Amino acid sequence: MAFNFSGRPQTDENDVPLPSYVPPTVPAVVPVTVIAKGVRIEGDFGGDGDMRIDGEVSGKITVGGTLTVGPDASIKAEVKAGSLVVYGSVEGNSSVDERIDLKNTAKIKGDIKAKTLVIESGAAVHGAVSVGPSAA
Amino acid sequence: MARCRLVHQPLDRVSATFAYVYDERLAERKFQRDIARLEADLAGFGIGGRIARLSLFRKAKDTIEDFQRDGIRHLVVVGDDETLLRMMWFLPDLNMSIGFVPLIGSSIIAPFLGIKNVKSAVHALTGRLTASFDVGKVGDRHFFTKVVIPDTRAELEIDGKFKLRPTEGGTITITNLGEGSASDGVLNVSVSVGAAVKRFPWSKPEQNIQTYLPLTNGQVHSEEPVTLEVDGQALQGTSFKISVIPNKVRFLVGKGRKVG
Repeated sequence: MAFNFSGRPQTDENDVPLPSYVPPTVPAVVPVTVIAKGVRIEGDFGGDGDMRIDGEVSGKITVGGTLTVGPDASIKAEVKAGSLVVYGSVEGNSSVDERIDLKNTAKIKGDIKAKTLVIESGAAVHGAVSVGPSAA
Repeated sequence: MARCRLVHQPLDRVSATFAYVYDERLAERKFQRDIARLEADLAGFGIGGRIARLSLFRKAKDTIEDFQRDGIRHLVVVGDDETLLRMMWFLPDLNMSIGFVPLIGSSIIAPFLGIKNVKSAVHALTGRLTASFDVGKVGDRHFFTKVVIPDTRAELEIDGKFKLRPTEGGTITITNLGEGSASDGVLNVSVSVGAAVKRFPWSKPEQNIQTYLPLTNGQVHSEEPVTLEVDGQALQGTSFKISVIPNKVRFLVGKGRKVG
């Protein structure tokens, strides 16, 4: 986030010496994108930060941070993410840089690739699984 | 459309670089004391200036363009948020810094400008410290705070890459000033769906399920005509381009601004 503070007027007849001003420092906040239930997205969708999806997405998803797929979410897309946490349904191939967490309600139809895979009892996977440092 | 008429001030109290636009409601008797106190403060600081009052008889845009031609560099809007927003569709195109004195009621915009009250507004003017803010655009029209598309099934195409739609209808809000920073070069989209619920009997109904995502360029498409509330003013149509222009407008600001 950048704040641009412009220069002050140079020739105003009312100009008086001004105190020095230090712009407020704003911490770098990684934006979190949320797609809630009741919203449908079609196309090439993504973002640099973290993302949570509880709605419907079809197409392609590219997320720099952690993608969380909520229990009500319906995803029919190719997924690329830093990390992936799945409570709901994903139909499509998933390629993840770090770790995939499949919770007990997760349903995956498609191939998955990641460095680390954690599967809870009850999660369903239909597809090829490739896990390890060379897989991601 | 905002219109205004000029009010002449004695020349010895007038600054060559400041001009003021008063809301027409400030002509009411109940504001006379506040106005007199404000003008005395401004004269005391040597920043009194020409005054125009918004009215039905002359277009505000023409008057303010005349101010600019006459060398006015700081245009100060005196009134409330509505007064300011009624002029924000054309102010960003003028090479002036904008001041704001919230003399009528409370203001949602003032804290973002570091203004707590009339006194701090005057201090912001005397300090002449400016900060740049992004401005949103709907078609050819600028907006400063937000665009609301209430109760709609319209489709929002974002950055030409993907399309978003509330499946059962919902309210799409595209915010520049409010949620997030108005200086980060992006607009914030939120979508509220589901039935509105009142938390308390006296409170406004709230839709709790929210979608949030950023936008720099977008397009609203709808088969049926939709009404957009652009800075509180209605705009109707079936297709609108929405974008953000970073650092388009300069405001005279106080210290301790609220940042998003």
